[in-house]
Formats: sequence, C-alpha cells, structure tokens
Amino acid sequence: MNELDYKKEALNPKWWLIVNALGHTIIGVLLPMDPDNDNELMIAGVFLVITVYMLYAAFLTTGRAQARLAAVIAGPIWVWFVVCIALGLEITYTTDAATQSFDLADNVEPLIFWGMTALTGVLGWNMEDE
Amino acid sequence: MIDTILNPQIWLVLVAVVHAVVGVIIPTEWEDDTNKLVSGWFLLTTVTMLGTAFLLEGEEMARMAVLIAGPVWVWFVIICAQGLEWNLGKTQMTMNWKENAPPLVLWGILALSGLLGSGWV
Repeated sequence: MNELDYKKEALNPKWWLIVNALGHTIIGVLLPMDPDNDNELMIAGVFLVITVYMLYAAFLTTGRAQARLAAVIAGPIWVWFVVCIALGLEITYTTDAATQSFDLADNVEPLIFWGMTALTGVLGWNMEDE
Repeated sequence: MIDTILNPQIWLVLVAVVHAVVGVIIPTEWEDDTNKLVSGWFLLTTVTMLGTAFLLEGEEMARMAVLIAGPVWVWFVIICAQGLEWNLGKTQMTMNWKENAPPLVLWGILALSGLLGSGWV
C-alpha cells in the first residue's frame, strides 16, 4: 500500500484549488452578498466565474496544465489583494459599505489561500505530466 | 479557413484586448476606489485569457476558452434579462440587450470556438 506523502500533497495545486474555490465562494462572495443590491449581485456573478475556473482546473486538468492554471488564476488575484491593501481602497458599492475597507489585518486569510494556490502552481509549472 | 476563423487562440487574444480596453479601461473612473478595485478584478480575466492563449494548446486551450467565456456570456444574459442597474463607472446604465449586444456576440463566439475545439461535441 502506498504511504501518503503529506509534504507532496500539501504542495498539490489540486487541493489548494478546491479549498480556495469553496472558501472564495461561500465566505468571500455568498455570505457577505446583499441580493437586493444590483451592483453587488452583478459583481458577485463576476467573482463566482473564478470559482468555475478553479473547479475546472482542479477536476478536469492534471499535472502541468493544472499547475499552470492554478498559477495563472490565483497569482493575479493575490496581486489584486496586495494592490488593494497597499492603496487602502474603500468599498462603496455594497449595502454595508460604511464598514468595509481594504487593510492588511482583515485580508490575511485570502492572501494566504490565494498565495498558496499560486505558489503551488508556480512550483509545479514544469512538472512532468501525469 | 473556417478553422482559422474559429481558432480559440485568436478569439481569446481578441476578446482579452477588447474586454480590457473597451470594457474596462476606457469606461472606468480611475479616481474612485470602488471603480479601481472592481476594474482591477475585471482585468484579471484578461490575464487568465492571455495565459490560456499562450500557455495551453489544443483541446486544453479550447476547453478553458469555453470555461472562461461560457459563464461570462451567461452572466451577461442574466443581467440583461433582469435589467439590473449598474451605477459604477462614468455612466449609470440599466443592462439591456441592445447595449450589450457587442459583448454578448464576442463572448459567445469565444465560447463557441472553444466548444467546437474542445472534443466535447
């Protein structure tokens, strides 16, 4: 019986893609969304498109293609978070806009999850195809 | 000839550029924080499309083209069908079929070209 190599699995982009897709969809988009606000509804739709990309990459690709997609999908989003935090942007389109702005303390979790997804993708960029 | 016309790579690059320039960069009011962060997010799709066009090939590229363009096309259909009001950016607009015909056609052809090259049909 093969022993599970936890170190290898921890750097497998597939798991990070799945966890990130679920976290992004539920915690990042659906829970904070006000469906009665048209702008929020439209932007939530755009955010959820990323979930489709991630689940496709996780379940319908393997090896090098999967790793490269993980890097291409998650890398720019990590950069997006960094830029939004660095600029201290304020969110004004949501119903509870008064309480929302981008600061580092509130965005540690997404930075870690998107960063790890991108990192595992970069590390597997030239991996042998399965 | 028809293979060239429906080559997903060509459509990925074309739609990526049109989406970035006409759909995002020009209509965005860059002094506004919300505009900056929403438009920044929209531009991520351009990166994903160009990555797909130049880093993947064959059926993998075509399938990713379907995955990228299909949900965006559906998103346009839903917001037009519901007549949602968009009041971010330089002008407020109510989403309707007439004003959104160009993106519907472009994203639709991209999805179609991907579907035809995907091996799924």
